[in-house]
Amino acid sequence: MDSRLREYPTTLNFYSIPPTSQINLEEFETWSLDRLQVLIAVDSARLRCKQEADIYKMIEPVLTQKMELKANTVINALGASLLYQQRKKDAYSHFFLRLAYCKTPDLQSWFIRQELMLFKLRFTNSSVEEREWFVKEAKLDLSPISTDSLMEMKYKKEGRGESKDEFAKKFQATLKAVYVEPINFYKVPFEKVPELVGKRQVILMDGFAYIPESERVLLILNAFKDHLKQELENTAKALPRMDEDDRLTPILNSLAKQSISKEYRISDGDGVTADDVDKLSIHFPLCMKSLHSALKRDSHLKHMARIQFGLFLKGIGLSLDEALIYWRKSFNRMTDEEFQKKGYAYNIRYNYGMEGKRTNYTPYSCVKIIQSMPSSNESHGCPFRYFSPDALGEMMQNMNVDQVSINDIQLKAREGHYQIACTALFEATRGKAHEQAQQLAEPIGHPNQYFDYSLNGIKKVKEE
Amino acid sequence: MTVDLESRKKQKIEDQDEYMDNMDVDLVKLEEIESSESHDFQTLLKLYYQKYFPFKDFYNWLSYGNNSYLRFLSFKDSEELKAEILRLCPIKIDIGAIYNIKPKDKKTVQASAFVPLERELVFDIDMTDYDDIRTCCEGANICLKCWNFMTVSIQIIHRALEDDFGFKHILWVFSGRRGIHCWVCDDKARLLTVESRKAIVNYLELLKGGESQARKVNTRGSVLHPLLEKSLGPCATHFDRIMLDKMGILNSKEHWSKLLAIIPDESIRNELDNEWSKSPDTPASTKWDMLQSRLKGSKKSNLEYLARDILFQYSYPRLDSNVSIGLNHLLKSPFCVHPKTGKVCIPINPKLCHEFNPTTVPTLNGLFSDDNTSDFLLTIEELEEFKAHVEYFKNFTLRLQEARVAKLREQQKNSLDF
Repeated sequence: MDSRLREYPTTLNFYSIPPTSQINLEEFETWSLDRLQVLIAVDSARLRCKQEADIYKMIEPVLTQKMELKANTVINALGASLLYQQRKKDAYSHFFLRLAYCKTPDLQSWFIRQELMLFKLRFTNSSVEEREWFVKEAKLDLSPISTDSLMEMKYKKEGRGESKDEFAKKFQATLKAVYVEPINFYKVPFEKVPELVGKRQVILMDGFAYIPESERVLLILNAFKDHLKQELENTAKALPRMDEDDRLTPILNSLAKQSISKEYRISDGDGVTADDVDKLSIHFPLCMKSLHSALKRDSHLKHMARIQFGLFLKGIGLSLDEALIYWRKSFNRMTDEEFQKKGYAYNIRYNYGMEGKRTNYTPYSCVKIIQSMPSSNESHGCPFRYFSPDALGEMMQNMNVDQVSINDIQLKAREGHYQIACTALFEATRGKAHEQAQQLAEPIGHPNQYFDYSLNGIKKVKEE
Repeated sequence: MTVDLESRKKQKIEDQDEYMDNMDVDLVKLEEIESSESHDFQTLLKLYYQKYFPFKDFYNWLSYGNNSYLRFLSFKDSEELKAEILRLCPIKIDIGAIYNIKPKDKKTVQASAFVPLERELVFDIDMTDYDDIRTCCEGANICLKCWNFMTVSIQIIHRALEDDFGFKHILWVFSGRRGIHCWVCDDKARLLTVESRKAIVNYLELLKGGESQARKVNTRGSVLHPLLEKSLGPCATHFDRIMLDKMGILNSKEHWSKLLAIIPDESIRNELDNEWSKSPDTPASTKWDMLQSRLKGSKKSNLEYLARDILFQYSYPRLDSNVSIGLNHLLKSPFCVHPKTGKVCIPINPKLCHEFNPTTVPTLNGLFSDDNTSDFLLTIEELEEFKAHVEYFKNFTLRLQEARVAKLREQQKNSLDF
């Protein structure tokens, strides 16, 4: 082992020793941001892929670019100091982000989820030597129990009136039925491995699960998770006592905001007029497109649909006055008197915080729209969830989406990945218009985000 | 000492917001019941609480060593609890979780800030879940034949909870009408997360699929997981004695068609149906042997162990998983009186569960009937029909207490060692 790598002997790190050397503010910020991009990529890949291998494939480019770690096997080619630098950046950035992500339970759990997945991916993709070295170094006290001693224990507990040989023979058969590879076992409290317990893929005795060698990684991940959880809590407690540092605090606060804030902020720039709405509708996501056409068709929308669509329009920059004009014009089978009497104008002003509770409502996010189920004669909600596959297909055909993409999107919708289906639709339709939108960094989380991506893409094309 | 005892008022007339279903110990007042006999019922109920309800043991159990504080109902001792119950004469006593905030004050905090902290691991097994396979009764009715489903369930679940999960303080209680409740009260059990509870339930559950799915059990391979291996014995006995013999599930076409529908292979299904229809009086055990050998001989991998799966489907415990997984389900307390049947929810000793007879459980009317006047001088421990159950409950609370003392000693010893 090269002495320079003593601090970080492998690419795997349990992150138990905090950084001690000095670092400048710029590095602090760039390293943190680099790691955050990796974690965001992990988060979005997890939403899109089911298989771990696919997740890894998806984040690999980001990893290589932002947080590459080379194994000891290439030490001669690359030199120990480069390896050291890579590992130092990985370790330091992890500890930096702890400072930003320890503040609330939500932030903590987001950070733990991504870090755990990142660690898992790195662990499964590392060499056997590295893994063994890591397990030894991390002092995880994992001493396996042999098949024979497990049998002895079981015999002591249950063997009644039968010879040990007989019992052993039966027990071997049981082991083969429960485990894929019954060689060595680790004893853990059953709560530590709920998935294996739930699937009856372990033998339980007196509250302990006996997990096989092949599942040892679960124990390591558990230890990693518990350790990180504990450390984040400690950090949270220590943070207020940290010297008041007006250089770090703003950086930390902005770091913490970047991963989670999905709330859509209304752009107040260029106003959209009532007349613009139809023109802009090519940029609408499917949920709004369907409401837009329903409104055109029926000259009316039901209550929930009006809120969903109305707030979306507010989000794209339609002012209150313009909104009143737009809705009045759209409800064209109605007299002015009726329009007033039924309180539609009131509803619109309400959305803009001018009536009732006077809350300035923000446009609904995907989560909210996905959750609001329409009844049979209502048109709001997420089309990927509430439309029949045929209706969904027809809408997409009308948008000139190719059949391969339609099938793919329908499948995703059927599997319950509504936002991913929506993202795929975006990629299938917008991706062709402008290159930069072909692969979105993360799934669409908000209808107005869809709108912005679509609209801004077009602007850029025009500029070129 | 403050007493904040909640009693659920008639929901219709009271402010809806006052109604609290997450209440920890829920004392439901009789006003809710609008029956003509309600007056009699209430008088007897009051007498029952006065004379028989085992307040002391009940208090010892639920306070878990934390004296003067019974969940959210703060009582100095069992006497005070008794006084309050007598004052309210609740028709039903439900027990839920322990929350971080008094359920009464729930409205003063954000919904997310109101969280359950502790809850026994509970199981609810209800006879209605067996309606598709029992031939003797339906709905709320039960008889000694179908009660065997409960007996088998206690045997299987109790063993698994003890041997596999290592729990020691398990209380089984008759639910008063057509089922049983199980309370696992170990410290560790009361602190289980939802995820762990789910794992336990999934581990124990075997039947999958709803009404539209005929085959609900699908075990693979000749060797079973130890849980099922150990459950097979009780299930097989139950299947032979009760299902085949007493319930006669293969005696008439109406019943055996249901069972045969589980077999996915049409030719085997028809073949058996034809043969049985020709001589419907063939003993059920012979029919079952025919089915077994026919399926074994089919050489199709999904049919090889189907007979065993059918046996499981007709006898393995059916749990109401939602009750066990969530922390905020309410469950009726032991020793309360079921408002519809008048039966007392008495604890069942799992070692003697095969002797338990739900049809002769003491009822409110029976306790105070004119024939029983001589008994009226006896205490609950002395009443023949209660004796064993009260004794069992008392021992259960004593063992809990002993474990608590032992744990405290251990902790003290450890702290002295340092």
